[in-house]
Amino acid sequence: MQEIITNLIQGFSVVLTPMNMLLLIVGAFIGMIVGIIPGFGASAGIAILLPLTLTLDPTSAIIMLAGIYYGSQYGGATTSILINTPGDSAAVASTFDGYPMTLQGKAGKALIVQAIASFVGGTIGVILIFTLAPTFAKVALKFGPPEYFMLMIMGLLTLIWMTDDSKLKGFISALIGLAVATVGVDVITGTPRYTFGSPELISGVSFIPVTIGLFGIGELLFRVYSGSHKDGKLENLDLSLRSKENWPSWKELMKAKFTFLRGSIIGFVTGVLPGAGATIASFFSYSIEKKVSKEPEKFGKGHLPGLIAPETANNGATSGAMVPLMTLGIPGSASTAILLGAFLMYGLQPGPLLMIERPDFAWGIISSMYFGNAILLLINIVAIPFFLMIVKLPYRFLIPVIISLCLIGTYSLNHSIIEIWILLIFGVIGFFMKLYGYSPAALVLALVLGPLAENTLRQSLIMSESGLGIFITRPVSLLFLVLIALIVFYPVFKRIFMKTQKA
Amino acid sequence: MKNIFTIFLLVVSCFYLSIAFTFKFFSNDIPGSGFFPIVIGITLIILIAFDLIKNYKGNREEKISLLHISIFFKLLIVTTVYIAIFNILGALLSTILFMFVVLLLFNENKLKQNIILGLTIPLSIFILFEFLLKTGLPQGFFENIF
Amino acid sequence: MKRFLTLSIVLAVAIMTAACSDSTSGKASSNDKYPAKTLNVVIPFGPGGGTDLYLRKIMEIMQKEDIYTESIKIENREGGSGAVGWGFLETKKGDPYFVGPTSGSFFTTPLVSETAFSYDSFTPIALMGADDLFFLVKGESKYDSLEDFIEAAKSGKKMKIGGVGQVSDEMIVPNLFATEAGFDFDYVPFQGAGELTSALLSDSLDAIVGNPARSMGQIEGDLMKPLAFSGIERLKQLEDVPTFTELGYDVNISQPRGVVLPADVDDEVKDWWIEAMKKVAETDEWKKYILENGMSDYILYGDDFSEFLEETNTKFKDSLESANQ
Repeated sequence: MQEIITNLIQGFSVVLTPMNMLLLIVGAFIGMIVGIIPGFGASAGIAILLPLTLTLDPTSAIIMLAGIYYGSQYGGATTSILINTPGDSAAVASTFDGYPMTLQGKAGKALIVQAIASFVGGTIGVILIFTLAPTFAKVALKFGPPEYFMLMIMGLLTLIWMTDDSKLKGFISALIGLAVATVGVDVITGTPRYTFGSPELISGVSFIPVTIGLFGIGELLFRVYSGSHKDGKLENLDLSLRSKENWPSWKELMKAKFTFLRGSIIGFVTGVLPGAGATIASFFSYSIEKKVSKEPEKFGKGHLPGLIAPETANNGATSGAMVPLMTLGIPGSASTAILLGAFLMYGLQPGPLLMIERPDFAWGIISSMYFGNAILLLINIVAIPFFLMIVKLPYRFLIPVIISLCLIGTYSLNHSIIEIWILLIFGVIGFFMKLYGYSPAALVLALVLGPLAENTLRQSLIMSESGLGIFITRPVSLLFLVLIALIVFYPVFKRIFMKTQKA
Repeated sequence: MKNIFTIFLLVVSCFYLSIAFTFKFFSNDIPGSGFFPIVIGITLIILIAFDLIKNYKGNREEKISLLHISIFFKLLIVTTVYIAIFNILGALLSTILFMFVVLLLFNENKLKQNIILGLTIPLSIFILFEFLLKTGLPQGFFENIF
Repeated sequence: MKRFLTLSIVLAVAIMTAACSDSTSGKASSNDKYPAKTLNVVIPFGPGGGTDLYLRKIMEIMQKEDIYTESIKIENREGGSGAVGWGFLETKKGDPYFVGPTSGSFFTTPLVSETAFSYDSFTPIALMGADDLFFLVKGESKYDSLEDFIEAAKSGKKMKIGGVGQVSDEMIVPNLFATEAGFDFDYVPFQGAGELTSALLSDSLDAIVGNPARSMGQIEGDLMKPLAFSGIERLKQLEDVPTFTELGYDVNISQPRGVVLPADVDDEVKDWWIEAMKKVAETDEWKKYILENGMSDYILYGDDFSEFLEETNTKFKDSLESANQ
């Protein structure tokens, strides 16, 4: 306990200087903007600003870059809620209940709740880092390919909980996602699959154009098809913050208190595992929340917990990913990999000794995350009136702006025209999926989890001396297996149990 | 219409599966590069076929709203052209043209407004990306003038 | 008529605006003093990676020391293990305002996929350092020396050694080592260094190969132990780690950290660049960078670099062929 307080004090004293606070605010703000622009994510933002930070001292520079990193999680959800266009894949799950809320005229409430949820998720995450970082680091060290494979299976199972309408169509959507994921060079054998000679396809179909296409463009096409540009439904609603209806009530928030907690913890723990990040965390959290809820049928229709769960999770995960980065020097995701690169650029050696040799740096960064989250909460709430103005704009103006932003945003990532075509193609696919009741969410989740599942399975089998036995001989993997069995067979047991009771 | 989409999916899945067979199913005693594609392909075909049968058995009712279908297609075509000329005319010019045409489609009879919006918005987007974010946007054939 | 007029006004304004934007390409006339324009740096990989960092550092030094007097624009063009970025650079033949890096994939990607470029499609300027690999086992592992490891490998236990990528220097080094030492093993490929490291630390692998810059922190923190180094000489930062060659195993293949320009640039430009790189190499900052990042201080210019590229390509080619048997 004593140590925690010392770290806190040290960390705070590093952050609370005018220079660092200024950089923090700038970084967080830029992060938010970057998150809002479709396609342009934290990785790109950090990469661009990296050269500008070279004149600063390492701690200050990283405080700013870290601000961009977790700030982008706030921004990404804004477009998810307003126009069903996730800024990155971690914001996809926020479209499920966030966008319906906008369509119901509750955009203001959705944005406020999103900001609060992100704040809670991020802050609980920071608290967990302060108190339990070494413990979590040890847990992360137990995870090798077999454990990750089990995690992936669990993730794919939660897919089933996520889809309601047609399970069959949900499966088909997921399989399509898995199929798209196989495009590219197979990591294990080096064989190119479905690349048709194009160098851009060698690294596979990136999920950004797919996600933005399916959700953003797909929804846009659907709205044109349904005549949104003519009926002007949303434009005449009173969305000002002065109206009490547009603020979430204390009662509503309290009712969801466990959702806040669950989401943050699920997010944090998922983020700690290198390789599993905010995207997987947000989906997990959503599915679990829906499963344990007493009102599962409300999910997907503008239900507050349905927005809170993924939002707390993705911010919790952002905090969680700092654990392996700081304690072990292992990057958990693309954005943390760039942060790691930044550390190296400044001559900082990420690894177990970093926290011991440079506690001012390590705890300074972590403390900055706490302040960053608080500042972002403020910025978001203040900015909401501006965001709401977007919703009130006549849709016919938004149409070309959304399309060109999505297009240019996606292009700016890899300068690839093929990716823009993918954007359009998946936009059309997304439209049909929406029209005929398929699940774009299942597709995206499968696209993210698929490669990890395939690679870890095969890696595990290469490593195993006993074929599939490796999954049973390793304790953590065995634990997962038991959990999965319980989850899968629980309904069956329940039915058998009830039948024997009746007899 | 629904069936056409489902049949389209089926055809693509068959194509996917046929290529999947060219990869090794197993190599060195572990699943090879063909394992997952083949399993995915076969499962896809079975499930889609199921879905197709369900569609035929179930209600044949299908209402496609044709009200806005014309503008829908026009938007698709314009967007396709936009992507096609993106590299040729450069980001700025193609976005200006795109925005202008789409506004003409949706915001009828407001020529002046459309011209102004069609110039200022793409310009702001261009400035944002090219100068503030410093991502390189294509300049089309303008690149070779200087 | 009115429509036509407005349309042509629109077009004219558009052309003028495009004309005013920062145009950064075009052939330099031979009367211009080089450099006269913005330099475009094309990095075929994502930001934060090894290749990205060293080239950015070189550019940083060039700007700081006023070696390159115009502005420098850095662009990441990821995809296809370098195929996209280098493919793009190859199309800029004759343009002296583009520059790119080299790495292991510079050789391996053209050898395994049909790319528009190969290692000799560019103008080689200089080799600024080389990245070699450590052979690493877990810190608490029972192997204290390379010999221990080889002994265990030969006595029945089939070792699992991991690296990033199936076609990369990380695959070639263990393969060469195993062939030289005479044992059989299974290579486990991973997509990224993060997963690779956690695989070793979670007891899923017996050993991995690792880049010094990234592994240094874990080595110093006793999470991992280096048993050998694949460079020509021992690394200054970890002087008590023997090289493979010292121990009797001819395993030496590194990731060359070089600088290349597109093909067919003027000789003056090429010479300018060689001089510029010499200046960069002499700066304290570059020397510090090499030291801190565990790179080998191996510097070559111009034709020496050309020859080196040729030799390295042959090494990679032979290794890939023997590994695939």
